[in-house]
Amino acid sequence: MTPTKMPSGSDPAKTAATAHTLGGAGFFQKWTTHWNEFWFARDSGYAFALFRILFGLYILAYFLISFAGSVTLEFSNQGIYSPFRIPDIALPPVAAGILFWFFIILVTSFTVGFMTRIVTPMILTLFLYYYFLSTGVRDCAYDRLTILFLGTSCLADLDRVWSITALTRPPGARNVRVWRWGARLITLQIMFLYGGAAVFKMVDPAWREAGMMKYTFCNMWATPPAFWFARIPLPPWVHLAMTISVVIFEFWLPFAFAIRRFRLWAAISAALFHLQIAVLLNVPEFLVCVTTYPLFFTGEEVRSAVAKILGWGRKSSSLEPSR
Amino acid sequence: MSVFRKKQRMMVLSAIAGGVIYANISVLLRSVAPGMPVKLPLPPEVISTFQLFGMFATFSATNSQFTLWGLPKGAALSPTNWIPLPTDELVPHKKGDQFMRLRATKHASSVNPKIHIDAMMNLGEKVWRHHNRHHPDRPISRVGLQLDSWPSSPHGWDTLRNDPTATKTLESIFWEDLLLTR
Repeated sequence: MTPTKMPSGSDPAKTAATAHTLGGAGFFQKWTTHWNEFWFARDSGYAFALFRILFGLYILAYFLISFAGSVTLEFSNQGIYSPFRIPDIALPPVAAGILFWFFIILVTSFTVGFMTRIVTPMILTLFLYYYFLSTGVRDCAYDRLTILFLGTSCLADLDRVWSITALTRPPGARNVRVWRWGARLITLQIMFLYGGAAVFKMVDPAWREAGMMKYTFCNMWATPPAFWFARIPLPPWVHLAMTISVVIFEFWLPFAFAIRRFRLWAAISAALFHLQIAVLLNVPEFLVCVTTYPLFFTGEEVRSAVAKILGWGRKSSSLEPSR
Repeated sequence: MSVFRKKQRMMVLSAIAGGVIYANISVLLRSVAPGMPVKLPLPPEVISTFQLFGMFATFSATNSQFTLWGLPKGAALSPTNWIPLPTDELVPHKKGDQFMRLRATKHASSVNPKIHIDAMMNLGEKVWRHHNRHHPDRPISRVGLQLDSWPSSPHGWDTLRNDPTATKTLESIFWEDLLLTR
């Protein structure tokens, strides 16, 4: 998004007052104003920048841990995989290896904010290639979430601050405020994810039984800590309470994220929830949700939180842009 | 950016945002109220993209794992002649991932069963080619997929798999003759 200044005639109060006097057409205009205020309000780029760094690190960790040791088996024409909706267009092993490491370089470039606008569509294209060629066969939600986030990232301004690109820009172009559109869309998707999961579980009979928690901790996803937990002789009502508490928690999350005073607690508790899934059920891939949590906050909130954590208030950093 | 270009961009981004909200609501309503007479129309590909909240939708007191088998070239088609293939080396992923790959889960959810059968045949051929490429001295002529099931236990994944008193089932799929029982 090319940064521009707010048009001088966009005073929301003035627009709303005018709309009130216009009847039906006024209602539409008022609604449009609210819509535009919601999606196209401007913010400093710090929330986007932290999301870019976390999301990039997530994709790097995901691909390096899951596939770096098995590129030939996973993505080459000598491998064992199931293409979905595309022809079997895997490359020979050497070319597949080169493409894989090129993908890693692209994601690294994205993470550090170098040529982000060019590399993000390339990452999306290659991620889709890997998805339809091999990884999509598992039908995992986290892969589809990653695709949605990458698609949104292609249209968002992610490298305005805390990036290599920002360092090369003239000082006046660094701290330009950007549209919140991308942040709104990704956070809405996350709220639909949690709220949808909760409602889905409410109507699913399996989520009203103690067995859900008891047997999930002994199944193919369970880790040694999960088996350890499953061995604790708890009465069935405890397992049932745990099962229901997950549904209540997921139902609470979208509302908590929407209400400013609960937002931080929602982010902390949801991050712990995903960490628990990673530790007990060996599905760290859902930590992709955690990378989006900075987008629930304003850029200034993110900047001051990071500055506090890294001690930027006491000493200057080359990554901290001049203000 | 000119005002005109800015407005165009805002309209495109608004349309995308509206589309994502619509897709989420449509998929959510389909999932929680499948019997609803009127559904918000959506292409099947988009439905599967936004169907994000069905993880851990069920549970079972039974553990299951796929294992790969090969019939040595020239050997008769007898249950005793099959040799185990190194499943963990051929599909080197965590148990849940391995299971979903060998089941071709994405294809299995397709309304057209031929898509799933074709995927399984394709997977079997890849295993066959891979084995014979790496072991030309002991080639195989057929590939089998066996689903082992046994009661789950809090004492470990495999605990009751090797327990002679536990009830176990074996279901085998041979890619050349799908759904034959071994």
